[in-house]
Amino acid sequence: MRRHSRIISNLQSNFRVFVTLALLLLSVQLAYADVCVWRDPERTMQKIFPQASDYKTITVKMTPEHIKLIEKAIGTNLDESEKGEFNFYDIMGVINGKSEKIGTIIALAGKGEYGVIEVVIGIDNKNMIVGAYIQRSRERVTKEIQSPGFLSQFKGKTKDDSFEIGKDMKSASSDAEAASGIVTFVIKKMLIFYDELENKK
Amino acid sequence: MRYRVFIVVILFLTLLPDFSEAGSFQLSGGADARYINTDGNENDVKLEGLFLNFRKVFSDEKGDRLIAVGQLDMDDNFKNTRPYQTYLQYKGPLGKWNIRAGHYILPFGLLSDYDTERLILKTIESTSLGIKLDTGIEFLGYIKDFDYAFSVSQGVGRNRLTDIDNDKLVTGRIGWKAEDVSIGLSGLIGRVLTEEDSIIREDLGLKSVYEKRLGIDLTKYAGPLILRGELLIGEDNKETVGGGLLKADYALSSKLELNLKYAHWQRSGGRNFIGVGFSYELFKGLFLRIADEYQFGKEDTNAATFQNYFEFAKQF
Repeated sequence: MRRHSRIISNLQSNFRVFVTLALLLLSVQLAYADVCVWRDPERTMQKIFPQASDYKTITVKMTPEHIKLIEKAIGTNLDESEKGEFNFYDIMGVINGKSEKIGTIIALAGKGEYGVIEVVIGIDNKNMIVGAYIQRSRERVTKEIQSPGFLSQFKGKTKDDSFEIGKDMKSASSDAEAASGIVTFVIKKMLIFYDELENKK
Repeated sequence: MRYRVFIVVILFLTLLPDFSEAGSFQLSGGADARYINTDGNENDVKLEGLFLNFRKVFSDEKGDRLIAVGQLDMDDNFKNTRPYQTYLQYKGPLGKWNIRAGHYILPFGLLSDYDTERLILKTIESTSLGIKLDTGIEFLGYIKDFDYAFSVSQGVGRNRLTDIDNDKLVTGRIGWKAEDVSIGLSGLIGRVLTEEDSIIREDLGLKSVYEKRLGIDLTKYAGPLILRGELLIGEDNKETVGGGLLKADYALSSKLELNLKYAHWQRSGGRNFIGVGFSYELFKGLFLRIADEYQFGKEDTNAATFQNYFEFAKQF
């Protein structure tokens, strides 16, 4: 009798496990959001905005209209994980004794050969890039794409500028052309996201 | 009953249409299912864990101020329901200082920045400390390239939330961080009510132990390779103990990673752990992992594990 109830209990337990897994797997497409976390924000924030006093997280929900406009502007479809919400960070500074927004930090990931390349940019209130850095990369050419020589080329650029490697900008090195292209595309994409979601709201 | 409530909550939160226009509430969660073969003859299939996590940031006009984090874990085929990291954190200007109160991962060694809870090849706290999360107050922040974190906690781990012996556990870490490397120096002192399934409890045959630890940790990012190491020395009830861990994760492609581990711990005899595994991301959020971990020395055992791990995140 005890053995029988143990078997029933095990079956119930296994059933629960499989039901739960099935439900979770079914919800993948509905629930998954690729949240590119801005790691170590305070420290890196001061590198891009030395005068920063703090930051505020802003989350914007993507609408079908946003998605359509962004896809048109970047010339390709957005990944499913990019169609949910988009985060950016208002950077606050003290101007004339008052706490005001002095710029914005945006973080986004691109697909590299060895995993994601996480890119962070800072833009001023005129939407011009003031700094860029590679937050995380496992590429063999990580040192090259992290180099100031490559990243400083983005300074002063806006979404209306051309970002073509070999024409408007130099690759980080001859071995890093693919990775340089990914970084460049991600940066252009961030500027377009911000323009559609914040400037045109 | 708990199970049903949990399922309803998951369904409600994940399948519900988006109801919020803006905000900074994040819901995440996951499932960790495993098949484990021990020593070639014992087989076990189980839901190692199912978890649901929320994170909410409250801001004032100057910036993000208060962070609330909560996580509920249901482990071992729903037999063990308990909180994981669940705390409130007040962030000072620029995050140079923060006060955290609640149930959190202790700031010690690699644990301060590397959580292997849902990996097959884990760090060595089960052997070396017998505690990972604890309930208390932590003061943390940074000064230029240096991190600091100090915690005073109950020393009861995940066994319970309240103290039982009034002996506090003091933990701290000072770290230095550059672009691709971080180094830390950690200390821990106090009485620990060790985790039920920890190796330290098995070794000592005691639930509670007075621990002293000093440790150094290193994390190095080198392109596809991430190297992590930890060296510890200390005392368990005045008996000298020590050991270390070396872990390497190497990205073979954008989806496939090779994982290696070696650890040694000396406590009335030595334990050695050698692990090798692969992690494959089938699609975003769904990982298939396989690993074999061989333990020799004080105890000889081999565990081959296949893991199906899924995680999701949603913001509101």
